[in-house]
Amino acid sequence: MGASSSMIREPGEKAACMPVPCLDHLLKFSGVLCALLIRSDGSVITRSGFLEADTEGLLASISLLIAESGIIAGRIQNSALTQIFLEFQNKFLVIQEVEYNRFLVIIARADTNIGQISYHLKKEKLRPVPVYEAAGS
Amino acid sequence: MKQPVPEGTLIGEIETSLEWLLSHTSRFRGVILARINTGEGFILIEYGRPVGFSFRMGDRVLQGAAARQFFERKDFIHASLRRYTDREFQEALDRAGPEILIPGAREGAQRPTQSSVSAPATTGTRLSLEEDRQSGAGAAAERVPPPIAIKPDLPEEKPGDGMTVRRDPAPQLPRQIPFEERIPESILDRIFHSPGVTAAAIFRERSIVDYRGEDSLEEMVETAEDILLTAGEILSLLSTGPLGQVTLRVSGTNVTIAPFEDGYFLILTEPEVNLGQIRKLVHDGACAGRG
Repeated sequence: MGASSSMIREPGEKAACMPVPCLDHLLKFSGVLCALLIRSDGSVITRSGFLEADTEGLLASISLLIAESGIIAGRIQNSALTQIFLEFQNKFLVIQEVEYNRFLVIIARADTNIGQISYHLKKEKLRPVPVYEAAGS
Repeated sequence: MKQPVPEGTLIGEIETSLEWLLSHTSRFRGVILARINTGEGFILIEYGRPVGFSFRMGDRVLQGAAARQFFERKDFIHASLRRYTDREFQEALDRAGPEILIPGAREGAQRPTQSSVSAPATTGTRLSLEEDRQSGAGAAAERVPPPIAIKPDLPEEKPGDGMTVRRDPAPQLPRQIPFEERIPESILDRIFHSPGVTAAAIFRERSIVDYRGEDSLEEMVETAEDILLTAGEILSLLSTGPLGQVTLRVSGTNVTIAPFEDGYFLILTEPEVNLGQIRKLVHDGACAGRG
């Protein structure tokens, strides 16, 4: 995932830190407008790209979507949700769980090669994002 | 602006002229929330008859015949169609007030007969049961109109001046296909027998209309509709154009929800089936219904 050296300390997660990944590499794919790494409550860990939309409203909707999709997943033999794919006429939105409570959101134009991005994510071994113990813990 | 009418049930959005809207809503009762670059308003429709019009431009409000004339002069109206129940329609009339009404418009307006709007007998017993349940509960056994839910293109906001610019010179209006010409049963069979499909259903208003494969789909319908509502919120925030499909990749299964007619497909596929194949499946399924 091309993790940078900066670290993020999670609220309420005592002494546990994780690297803040850089998502710029996803913007190299033609048509990708924005990539975000969020928690399930919609809070942003990091982002790349520009989003014209009402970001707060969008993240609230995405958070809701993750919760609702989790319900469906739970109804299928308690399976785990791995990806949500929303295809619209002009854009698509991919939400992929990369680790517990970490979701990668990619917003792209409809002509983007989603297969290429999926392959890239797999190749880069986006999943799971390593969690490092903070120094001195 | 807060809408002065009930929200109703969203059945789709389209950008077209008033003339086209009125000629394609003979089986629709509800409100058309209309947006034009200068403001927004609504049109109350009762089975093809435009009952009332209202349009607000800043502090100025046009109502009744004046609003209708205004809409008629517009080549394109961004329209969001919302279906009403009897109660909601009455509430809309009460809330909007008599000023919006077109004199005489409600005379002779009547609900289409059951035979003219219901699915053919081949639709299966589940549909019949659904209709029985509705009528038993005193609910109107109405059906929503065929899909005018396809929005050809979304307007692009030109920054700064608030004007709307279309990408295409003219909208490609969807072909109107009577519900009677489609046989959901055969469409479902076709989808269900496609490689990799483990179950398929058509649902509407939180109930399964017909299904093939696992009956556990019933348990998912309510949440599936919630997901569609959330997708609708995202749609409005991102200017995405209409929804094509939602696919959830769950370990061991893909769950796809896609608009079909006045309802939705709910399709379960094996994990090996990729998104492109699912897209084709939904597209082919819909095309099969069109003969």
